[in-house]
Amino acid sequence: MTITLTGLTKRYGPTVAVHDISLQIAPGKVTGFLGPNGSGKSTTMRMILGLDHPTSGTALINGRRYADIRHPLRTVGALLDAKAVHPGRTARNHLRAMAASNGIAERRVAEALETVGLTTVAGKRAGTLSLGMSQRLGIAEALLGDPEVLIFDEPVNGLDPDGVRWVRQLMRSLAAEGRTVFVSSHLMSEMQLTADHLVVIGKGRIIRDAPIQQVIAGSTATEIRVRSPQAEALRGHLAAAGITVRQTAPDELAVAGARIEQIGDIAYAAGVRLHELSRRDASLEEAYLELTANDVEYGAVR
Amino acid sequence: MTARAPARAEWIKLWSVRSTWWCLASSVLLMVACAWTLGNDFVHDLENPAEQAVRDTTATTMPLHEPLVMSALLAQFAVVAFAMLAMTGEYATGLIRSTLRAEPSRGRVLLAKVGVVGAVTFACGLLLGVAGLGAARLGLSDYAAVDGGAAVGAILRVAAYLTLVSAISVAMGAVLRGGVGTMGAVLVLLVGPLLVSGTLAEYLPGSAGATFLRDGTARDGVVLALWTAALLASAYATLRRRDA
Repeated sequence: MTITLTGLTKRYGPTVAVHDISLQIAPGKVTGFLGPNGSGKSTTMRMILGLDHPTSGTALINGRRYADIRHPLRTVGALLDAKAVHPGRTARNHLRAMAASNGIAERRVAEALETVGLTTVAGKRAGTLSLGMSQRLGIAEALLGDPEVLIFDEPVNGLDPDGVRWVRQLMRSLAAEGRTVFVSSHLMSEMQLTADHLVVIGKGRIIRDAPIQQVIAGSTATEIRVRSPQAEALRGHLAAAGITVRQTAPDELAVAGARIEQIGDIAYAAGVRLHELSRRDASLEEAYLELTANDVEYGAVR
Repeated sequence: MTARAPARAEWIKLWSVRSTWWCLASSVLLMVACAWTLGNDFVHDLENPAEQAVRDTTATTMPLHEPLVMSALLAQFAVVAFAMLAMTGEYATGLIRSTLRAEPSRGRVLLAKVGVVGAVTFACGLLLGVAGLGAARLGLSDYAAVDGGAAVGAILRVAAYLTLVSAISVAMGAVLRGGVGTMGAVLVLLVGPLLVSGTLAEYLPGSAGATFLRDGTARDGVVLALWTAALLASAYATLRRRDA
């Protein structure tokens, strides 16, 4: 199932939280949703889920508005806020109520608890669970109706390294089953391991919507390192070919925005000896910071 | 319009938090204590020559159902808390977002809540009526004037009145979201008018409700029901319009 956003806009008075977002979130992939605080990620997710009304535009799930889906938990599972449970209700009763509301079989409650590893604390009141366990309870609720579409807002908040890895594997396997997985996160290293596709948003506008390899390759932090005893000479030849070069050491150059083959060929044609020709990929964090440098709403002075 | 599945969910939610049990137990306690005290006071004043001067009646018996009115007006505080929490509890915890994701139709969510809370309140109201009569009987001992038909009528009125009060509380909770504000607003509607006299009082929910409880006049019952309907309509409009 595909999530389709068309011209989605949300205004609060004069403030534009989400500005004219058009986007397709495809099945069978993990789509990461990145952006600084206050960039409109959660608002966008709430509009998809029919909680907030768009000022204009539409958010459709397989062509239907969320509000028009009968028993929506069987189609779309979501985790928005792990602490959004009544602290006095047990984990099991919380899930029982959610299941009953959508005519989901009672046995799914035990299955979902088992999947997230909360079976032993199912009888404990939700207020006594740790943040990590609450996060798991929220994930159990999302999985309850065995939905085709999953939306997670910051799912690894409060999880220990084991939990983080577990969430990553869960997302990967949900996508591998052909489901649509849309997940926001601040943890770039985690996203780099989890997501296939990225949507980067800043100040309510889409900055980038591309496969993760493209986002990383497009970063100027992705560089080719060249070591040569004739670095000075090579630098001239590369510059002549219109390639930007930075000298990082007497015998070392850093080249951005060129293919590794191109550099090798130029060096060969010029008869320059090379001791190293290697690629250093930007991290997602570097690529992300570069993309959002101008869009940080509450940025510290750097 | 099917609100069956959301109603089942509301039923589970209601009985899986302690506040429900505390509130309903409190309502029984308030009802029984008040009804017994009113009966006992009547007997005390009657049997003590020294108190004759302060008696405002010359009756030597009290209808068994008479203490029910005051007692129900006291016990309603626990019912308001019970009903209100079904709504404000969701806003306080953020659970409302899960509820609206599970049932995006605001109308059905409201209907399920009012229906389940109202049904439980009606049953509880019948219990309160019976318990209040029993307590009044104990308090009045030999001075009770028993009229079966009037007693049954009084029990039904207590149940009906409290059911409308529960619906008002749910509706007000949906509009205001916060527990303190909701409790305050409901008390203004239900207790404030008791201080008002004259024609205006006939059209205010608290005073019309109290008159309905005492006399069973259809007109006063309709006034309270209309207030309830108006508040429910505004709750529905608010839920539809507002972002969750």
